[in-house]
Amino acid sequence: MTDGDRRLASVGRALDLVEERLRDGLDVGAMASAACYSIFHFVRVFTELTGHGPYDYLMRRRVAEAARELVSGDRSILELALEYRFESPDGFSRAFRRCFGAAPSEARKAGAYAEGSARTPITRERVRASMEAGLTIRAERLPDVLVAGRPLAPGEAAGPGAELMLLRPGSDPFAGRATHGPADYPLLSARAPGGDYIGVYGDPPLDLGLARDRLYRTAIPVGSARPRAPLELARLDGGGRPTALLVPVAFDGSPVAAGRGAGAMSLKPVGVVRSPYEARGDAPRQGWLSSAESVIEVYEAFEEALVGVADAKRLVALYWGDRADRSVLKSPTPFSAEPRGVFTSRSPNRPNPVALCVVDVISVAGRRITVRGLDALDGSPVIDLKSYIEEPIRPSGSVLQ
Amino acid sequence: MEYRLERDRPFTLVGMNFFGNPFKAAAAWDVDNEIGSLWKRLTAYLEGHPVAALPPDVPAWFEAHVMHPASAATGDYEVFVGAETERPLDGPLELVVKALPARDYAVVAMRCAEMEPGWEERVAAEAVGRYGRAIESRWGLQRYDSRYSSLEDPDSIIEMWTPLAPGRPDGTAP
Repeated sequence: MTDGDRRLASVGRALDLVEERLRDGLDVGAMASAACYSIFHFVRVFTELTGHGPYDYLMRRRVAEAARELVSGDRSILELALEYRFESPDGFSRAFRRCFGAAPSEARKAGAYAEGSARTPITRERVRASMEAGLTIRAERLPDVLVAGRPLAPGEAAGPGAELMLLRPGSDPFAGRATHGPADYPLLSARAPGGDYIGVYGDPPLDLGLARDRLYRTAIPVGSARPRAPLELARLDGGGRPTALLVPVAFDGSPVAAGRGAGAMSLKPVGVVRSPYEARGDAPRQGWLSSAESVIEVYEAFEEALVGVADAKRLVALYWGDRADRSVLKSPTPFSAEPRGVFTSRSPNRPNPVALCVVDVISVAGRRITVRGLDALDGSPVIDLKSYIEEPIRPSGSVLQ
Repeated sequence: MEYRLERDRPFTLVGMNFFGNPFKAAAAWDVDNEIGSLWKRLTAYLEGHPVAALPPDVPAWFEAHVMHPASAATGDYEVFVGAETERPLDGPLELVVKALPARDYAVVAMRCAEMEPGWEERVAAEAVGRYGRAIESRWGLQRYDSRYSSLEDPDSIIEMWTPLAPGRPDGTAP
C-alpha cells in the first residue's frame, strides 16, 4: 500500500462518516478519529485531498441535503434546520444563502435552487481521480483574451497548434491561438473578458468533468466567488489536449464590479476605522455634526504613505460603507419632499458605497491617526487618505466642505 | 532521516500566531497558505523592530500547531511561529508569548527532499515504534535552524518535534 493509498483510505473513512451522520452530532474531532489522525494533521490532509476544510465540507453537505428535501417535500424550514443540526432557523438561513445565494423560503417558493453548486458527496473514486490527475487550483487575473481560430464540429478535438478553447453553453467549442491587438484581429475570433478567473490545472489530458466538479462545487464556493459570465476557457498543450479549465469569477464581499474593466476596479483597504459608532443609527448624518473622535489605523504595508501626515491639520478620508444597502438608487433627504436619486444625495446607501469626509487631525501616533469629523462606523475599511486643500478646487468656484 | 529523543524539554517562545484552518487559502487557489503569510508577517515586523526579548542571532525558529477546545468542533487550530526567549516579559505589544509544558519529544531531522506525501504518518509510526510511547496530539513543533534555507531546497533540513505522552524516567512506555 502506498502513502497515497493510506491517505485516501483515511480520508475515505471520514467521508463515509459524514454521510452516515449528517443528521447526528458530528464534529471534526470525530472525523479525525475515524481517519486515525490528529486533528491538525487531519485538517491538512483532508483539505489537500478534497479542497474543503472538514468543517466547511460537513456544513455544505448538511445544507445540500436539507435543500434537496426542502424543494421536494413539505416539511417546515424549522424542522429541516433542526434535523440537520442547525441551532436556529437563522443559522440555517445564513448557511443556505451562502451556499445557494437565496433564502430557504425563496428556494421553496421557486421549487428549485442552484443545484449545480450543491456539494454532492465526495467519493473515494473522485478523490483518487483528483490525486492521479494532479489537480491544483489557483486564481489569476487575465487581460481580455481574443482567440483566433474556428468552431469545432461535434465530437471534434482541437488540433495541434491550438492554445485555447472557449466553451459556452449552446455554442460549439471554439479553439485557436491567442492574438494581441487590433492589428492581429482575425476574421474568425472569439473573446473571453479580462478579469479574475479561478482555474483547475492538471496533467494533460485534463478530465473536464472532474475539473468542473472541482471548480463549481468546491473551488468557487469555498473561495466566496461566483461565475460572472457563462463561459469557460480551456488551456491546451501543443497536442490540443486540455491542461487547465478556467472560469471568470467575481469575488463576493470585495468591491469589485462585474463586467468589462472589472480587473481595473480592484480596491484594497489601506486601513480600518476605529470609531464610537457601532450601528448605522449611531453615526451622525454628517461627520462634522459631531465632535466625537475616531482613529484611522493604517495598515503596516502602507506606513511609508504616511510620511508628512503629522503636519496635516485636515485630511480627506475615503472609506468603504461596508454595511450600506447597495441596491438603493433613490433615497429620502431632509431637503426635499420627494426621494432623490442617490447620485444627487449624500446617502450612505448607493451602488458603490464610497464615503468621503474632511476630518480634523487631532494627533498621530505611528500608524494611528486620531481624527474628528469622521462619520464612519467602527470597522469600516479605509480606501484612501488625501491632503485637504483650503482653496476652491472646482471650476464652479464652490468650496469643498 | 535521523531520529533522537529530547528529554523533558519545556519551551517559552515569543512570536506571532494565527487561529483557523491554515490550508484554506492554499487549497482554494493560492500558492501561499496562511502559515506562509504568518511567517512573512513576523519577519517583516522583526526587520523593522528590534526585539529585546530575542537574542541578536536567533539560533532556531519554531512553528507550533496547538489544539484548542474549539478545534474538535471546527478543525480550526492555532499556528504559532517564533523563537525561544529567556525574557518573555520584554516582548513588544505586537508579539505574543507561547509557553509549552515540559515533555519528552521524538525528534526527526529530515531533508526537504524527504517530505513527500505521507511523511507525517511515517514519523508518527517511527516514534511509537522506537520509543513505545503514545503521541501527545494536542500540539506539535517544527524547528528551523541554519541547516534550513527554503522548502524548494531539497537539502534543507527541518526537525519535527513530536511530544510524547508521559513515560518512565528512562524514556520508555510505562
